[in-house]
Amino acid sequence: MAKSPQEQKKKPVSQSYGALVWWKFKKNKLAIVGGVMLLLMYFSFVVVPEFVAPYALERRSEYTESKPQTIRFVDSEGKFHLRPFVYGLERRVDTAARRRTYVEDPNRIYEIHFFVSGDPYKLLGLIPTDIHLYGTWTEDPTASVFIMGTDSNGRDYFSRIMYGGRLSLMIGLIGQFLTLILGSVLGAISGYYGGTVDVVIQRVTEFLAAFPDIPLFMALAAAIPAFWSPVVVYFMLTVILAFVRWGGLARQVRGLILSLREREYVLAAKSFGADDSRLMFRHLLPGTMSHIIVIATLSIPGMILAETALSWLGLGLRAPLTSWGVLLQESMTVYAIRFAPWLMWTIPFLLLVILAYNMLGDGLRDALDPYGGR
Amino acid sequence: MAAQTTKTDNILLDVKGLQKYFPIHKGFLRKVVGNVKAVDDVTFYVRQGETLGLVGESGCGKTTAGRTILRLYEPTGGEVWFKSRLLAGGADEKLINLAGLDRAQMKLVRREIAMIFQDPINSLNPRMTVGDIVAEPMVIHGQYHQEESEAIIINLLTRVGLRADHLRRYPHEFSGGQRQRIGIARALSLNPRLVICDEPVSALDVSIQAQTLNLLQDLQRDFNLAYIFVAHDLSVVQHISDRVAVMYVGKMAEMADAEQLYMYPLHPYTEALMSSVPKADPKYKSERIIMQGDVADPSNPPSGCYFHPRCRYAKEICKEKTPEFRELKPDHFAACHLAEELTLRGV
Amino acid sequence: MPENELLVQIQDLRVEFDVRAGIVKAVDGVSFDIYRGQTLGVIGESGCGKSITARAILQMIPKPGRIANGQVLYHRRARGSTQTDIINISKLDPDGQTIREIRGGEIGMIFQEPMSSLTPVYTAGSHIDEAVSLHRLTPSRKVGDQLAETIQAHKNLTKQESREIAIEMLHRVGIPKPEQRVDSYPHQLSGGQRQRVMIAIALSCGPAMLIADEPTTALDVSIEAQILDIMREMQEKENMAIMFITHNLGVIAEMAKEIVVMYMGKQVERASTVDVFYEPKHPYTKALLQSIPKVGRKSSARLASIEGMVPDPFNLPTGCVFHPRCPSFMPGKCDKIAPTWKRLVGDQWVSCLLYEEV
Repeated sequence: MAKSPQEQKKKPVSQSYGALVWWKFKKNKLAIVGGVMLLLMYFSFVVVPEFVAPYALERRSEYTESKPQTIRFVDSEGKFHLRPFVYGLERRVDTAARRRTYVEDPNRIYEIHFFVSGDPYKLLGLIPTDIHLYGTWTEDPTASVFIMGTDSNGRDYFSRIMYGGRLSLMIGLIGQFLTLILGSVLGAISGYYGGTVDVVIQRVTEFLAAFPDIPLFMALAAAIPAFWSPVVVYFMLTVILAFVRWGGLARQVRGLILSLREREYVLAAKSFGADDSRLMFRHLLPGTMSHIIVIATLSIPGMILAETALSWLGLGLRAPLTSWGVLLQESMTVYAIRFAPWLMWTIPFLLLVILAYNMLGDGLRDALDPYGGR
Repeated sequence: MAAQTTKTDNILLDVKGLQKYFPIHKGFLRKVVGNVKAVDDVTFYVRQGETLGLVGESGCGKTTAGRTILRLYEPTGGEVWFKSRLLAGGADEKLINLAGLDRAQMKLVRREIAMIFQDPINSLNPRMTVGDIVAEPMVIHGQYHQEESEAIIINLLTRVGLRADHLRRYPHEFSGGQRQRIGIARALSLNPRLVICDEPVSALDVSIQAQTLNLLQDLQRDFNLAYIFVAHDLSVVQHISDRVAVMYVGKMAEMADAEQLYMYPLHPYTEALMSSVPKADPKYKSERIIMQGDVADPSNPPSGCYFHPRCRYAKEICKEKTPEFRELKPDHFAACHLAEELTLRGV
Repeated sequence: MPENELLVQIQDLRVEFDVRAGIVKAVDGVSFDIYRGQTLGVIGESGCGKSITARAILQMIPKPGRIANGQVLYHRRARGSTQTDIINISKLDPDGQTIREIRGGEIGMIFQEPMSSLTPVYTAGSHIDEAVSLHRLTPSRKVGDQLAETIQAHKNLTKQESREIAIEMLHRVGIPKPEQRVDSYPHQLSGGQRQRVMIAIALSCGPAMLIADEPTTALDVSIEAQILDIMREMQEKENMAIMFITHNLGVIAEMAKEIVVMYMGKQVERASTVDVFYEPKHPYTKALLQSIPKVGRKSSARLASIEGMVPDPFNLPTGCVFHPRCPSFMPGKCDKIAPTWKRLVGDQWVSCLLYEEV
């Protein structure tokens, strides 16, 4: 049989399936961008948020609900500064609306320096340090650099987004990982053995799927005792998310196993005497692994959004834990939308994460087919 | 029922009344409403070192029969007698019924019976190297020892026309014909005595087909292998087989020496098949026997002789009674009520 | 006996595929004529370019292929009239009105039932995928509707009339109980029945020519015999030309009056069927004929197989492209000089240095 042009790649080195997938993946620029974005975001939000954020999570200031300070290069006198800077904040009272506002005072210039000393923290939870990515370099206690404004407690919103990102992104990942394990195992058993086991597992997944999400979450979340520590609450929430969502993945895995089970190379292994576990682990699961990864990757945004929605509804994480959902809860009041719209800065970050996951997932899915197409 | 065979010497595999039914499920509770009788009372035998061709059209059950013999599907009924060496106890060899073995015993027998598959793309795990693929049977049976086994594998690869440096390549880097060779090497890795070839050349080009058939014949001669050659291409089957069996909708229609069957068939279905084969000879002029309609449905077959609705010789008895598969001439079996009266035309 | 008239002329056709690794010359200088009421067989193995040639006739070459040279001339004549227009199909817009009228209406085509090797993790990348899925059975529509639609598209008939013709066609191709089957969905039919429906669709408008690309390869012999009969019947009744493409030498011996043998995009031999089988000239043709098993008296001989494998399209041999595998290889000649297409006795044409003075 003649080899098609597509198979005629001049490669002296033998190409394993994994290598082919990687090679095809690399060709997809969007996927690479997505992947890099995710790496950056996970690194910044999860590993070193205390470094990236200029302030500690609980650092309050007197500048409550202040709008963002604009980063400038040219001051009011038209002078160009090499270093970016912000104007200091000054309190005004808006008599018409009867509230305090903060306006920028062009007379106080605070330059933004990088790798400055700030609030102390422990990098990676171990190394005590106080270096932050950026901040002001001055003794003036009224100096501030709130690039995304502050909340009702005077906390730098950008910093809060950074810390909130840690929980939101991790829940998505851990939750999906648990779902993956649960769904793959049950789906594989269901698909491979068939019969009663399959029927039972199928009915259970259908039963769970039939439950409306929100009331189910509400019930489960309400069952979490209020006195449990926030960490435990976090953990339980992750488990709940995984528990509700494994059905979809299980069904996919089952379908894949069903189709692979009749593949001739599986039959061949059986004909030589391979037992169930060898068939499962050597032949069937590796065939599903790539698909599971794609499905899982494309489902993580759903997990993140689920947590966000739950917390926003007040059913998930609550203060003092900070996640994007919690942040959004504070920002989604009419008052906030009217008077402190910068509190919605959470949303672009959320969108960026989802976009990056989708780009990566699409790239993975296309790369999984290294023998077909161009 | 199985007939007494007259040439019982040297029989390696003796299938008697093999049945494989697939239940049909309907409804929410998946009740069994009927059966697809994929293999229904099939009887044949294979001698040491010979090739039995197994032919028939789609749905005749030939592939299912091959797989049921190896218990890839569990037989619904019947016996599969095999002269095993590994399960012979003290003796050299012993006739055992494969249908009655437990899992561990069957695993031993799988070293003596191997299988080659049709689809060169799907019969090899795309994620394994050629070396791993060919070694797998040895690994499964605990016979794989790093250095010696690698030498054995390289030897096998060379024997089937591949090279040692192919060991670490992946299936997608090979053509269809080469992949079939890898499958053949794998089948031979444990020195089987019987190889079930399930349409091994159907997916290959004409010239590659010829190479592969030659290879199979060479290997048969060198290793004294017996083949069950399942295929639908009648010319290929006649070329490679010593004896040929014809199946129709799960039942045996006829079985005889290859030349006998093709030139002097006793069953009307065989006759019709032979006349349908396109002959590679433009000067060949012959009336083709057209079988009206489609192949019968194995889940709802006709009464009596399954072939009667399409048979141009059918009489009343054919509608009522299922014909017996019996020996009409020495070593020539057929299942037809009218076999003695008819004079049929071969190729 | 009246001479058959010219219907389609293929002149020095060259089709190239521009893929990442280079340019593949899928069809490299093929010329032949197809006459009304006659069957031309095209024989060759995978990758020889026979399917692409067929698609070129209907301007259906999938991307990234294109006609690099040559032309396809179609002698078009309306039913009942005597006036013939010669249309250069290779110059027609692939999506234009004219070619769409011709496709299905005047030139019908049947393709092989695709053996779907699509898997979740691995696609058979060696098949060039069809970009245009004309005349494939859509899974979501009734068979009868798809058939009637083709009829309606090319003839001015009402829906009811088209449906009646559809039922008649289904009956002609041997589908049992056509009045019921006309409302079935493709998945309710067997592979053989689906193929017959495709043939019904191809024949439904009484085309002047039928292009059949491996139409019976996936079918049982008994069904194959029926279908070949239907094609011959149509040919006799409607003076329909057939271009029959296959690698099955037995089928082509039965169906074709004239045969073109192709290898790696080139034509290597063309002659009447009897001449090809009884006096083959090109070594490849001879080798092909010797490599097929024949039924009848058993011979113990091995099948004469062709050494080696089809070459890498990006690394074609110099001179004659068949020379590395040729049993009549002449060193110094066949690896240096490419043979030309030459006429031998009568109507036999060959491309081989054995018949040339160099």
